[in-house]
Amino acid sequence: MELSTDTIRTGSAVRIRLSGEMDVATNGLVHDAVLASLTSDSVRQVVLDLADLTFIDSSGMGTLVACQRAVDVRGGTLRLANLTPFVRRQLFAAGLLGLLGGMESDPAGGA
Amino acid sequence: MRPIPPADRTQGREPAAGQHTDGRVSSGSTRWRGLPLALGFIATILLVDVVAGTQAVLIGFLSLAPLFAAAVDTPRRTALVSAAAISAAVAAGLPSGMLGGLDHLLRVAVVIAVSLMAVYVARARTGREERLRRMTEIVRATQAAILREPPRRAAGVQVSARYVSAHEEAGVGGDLYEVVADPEQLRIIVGDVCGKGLDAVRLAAAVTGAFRQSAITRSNLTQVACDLDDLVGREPVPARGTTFVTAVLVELRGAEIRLVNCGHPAPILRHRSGELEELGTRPPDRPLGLGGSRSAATVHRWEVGERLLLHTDGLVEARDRARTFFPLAALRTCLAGPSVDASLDAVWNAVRRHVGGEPHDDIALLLAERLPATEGSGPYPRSLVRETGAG
Repeated sequence: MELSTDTIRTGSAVRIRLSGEMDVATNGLVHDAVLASLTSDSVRQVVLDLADLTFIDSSGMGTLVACQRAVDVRGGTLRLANLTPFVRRQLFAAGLLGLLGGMESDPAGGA
Repeated sequence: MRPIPPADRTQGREPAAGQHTDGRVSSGSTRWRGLPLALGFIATILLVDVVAGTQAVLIGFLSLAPLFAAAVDTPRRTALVSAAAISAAVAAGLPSGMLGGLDHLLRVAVVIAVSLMAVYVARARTGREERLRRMTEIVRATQAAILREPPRRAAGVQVSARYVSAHEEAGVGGDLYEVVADPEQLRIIVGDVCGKGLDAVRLAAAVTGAFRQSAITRSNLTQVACDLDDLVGREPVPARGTTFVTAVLVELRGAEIRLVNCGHPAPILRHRSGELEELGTRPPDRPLGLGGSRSAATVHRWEVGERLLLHTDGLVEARDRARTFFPLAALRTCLAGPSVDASLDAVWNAVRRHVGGEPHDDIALLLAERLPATEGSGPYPRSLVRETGAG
């Protein structure tokens, strides 16, 4: 199973849509896509659209934390959007739902 | 600890495993096909060349066969294919009547050059694969070495543990467990370092060491988790990624199970009725190393004969070819085995059956059973604790 990323930039916001599975084999793609979106100084908000993310393991969740830190360091914010029930359950079970909170249009997931 | 040896990782695999579509598993099964396919290709080209006669000269295509062999087969077999391709290139000069001519010689020279290059490529490729395989073996051996065999019986509890290393290079390393036994209580950690390879194994070793120390000196289980939090939090952060450890800390004392969950899959309690219960319903705390507050331990009860399964995500995330997860309901019968050892074997076999071969991620399993003790095995002096062998 593969993972593909699709980056759409509008003004100071970047939306990265992930399709596929996040694990040891594909985490690097997500990290690279987030870092690439930060090359422009004007980018302040990065949204990871997880609607088509079908699987994530602990290393994938670690990558999300790392991405959030990378965006934080540059003074921006990272938000997760459209979590599937599976991905939500994984993040919840790992105690990371709060840390990675600030979900877009998702009152239940707020930090 | 009884690591299940990574035997037969490249050969003798069940047919089902070779049919995986993700390409990572199937490399073993294409190897033996390389030689016949390449030779078949050469024969086809030669045949077409004979049929076409002087109309077309296909000698150049022959060099594709050694290249293909180099990609999937051993250097020796690639050399065999190369020799066949060169012979065919020479023989192909006959039907077109150009044998020995300058044009033919040049074409044969190209086939020879590509063939030599193919053998070199095959050698370089297999060398790299071999180095990677050796590295994986080192990680496996190190991982197995840091996990100590838990006491079979202590504080009125019988314990058994298994560690199964991943089938693939990418999955090895990072699962851990450790048991610290006192006369009155047992403290257990089962965890999973986020990451793979030697770095993950090193951190797993540090965590089990720190747990041993902390579990002896700290009276409060949450404090043990805080100690580990500090330890992991000081780890250097890798360039791409983060460092954390999901873990569940358990304290078994008589009829009480105390639990601190740091972002780890919930332990499963098998009641005497056969019913399975996942312990810990409230949101777990963050994994170790990410800071944040640590909640007090939750307290549960277990009866004599009941069993507690601690596991890592490799168990619940084991998937079959249709990518369905291992059903936890299957544990109901597995955990009913005559002993904790037999039960863990049954769990492992069920996972293998589900995956159709070896799992792709590490799995650590630890099963504890509360033993009958007539005087009770709670906060009493050791002399009063009678540990009978009934299972």
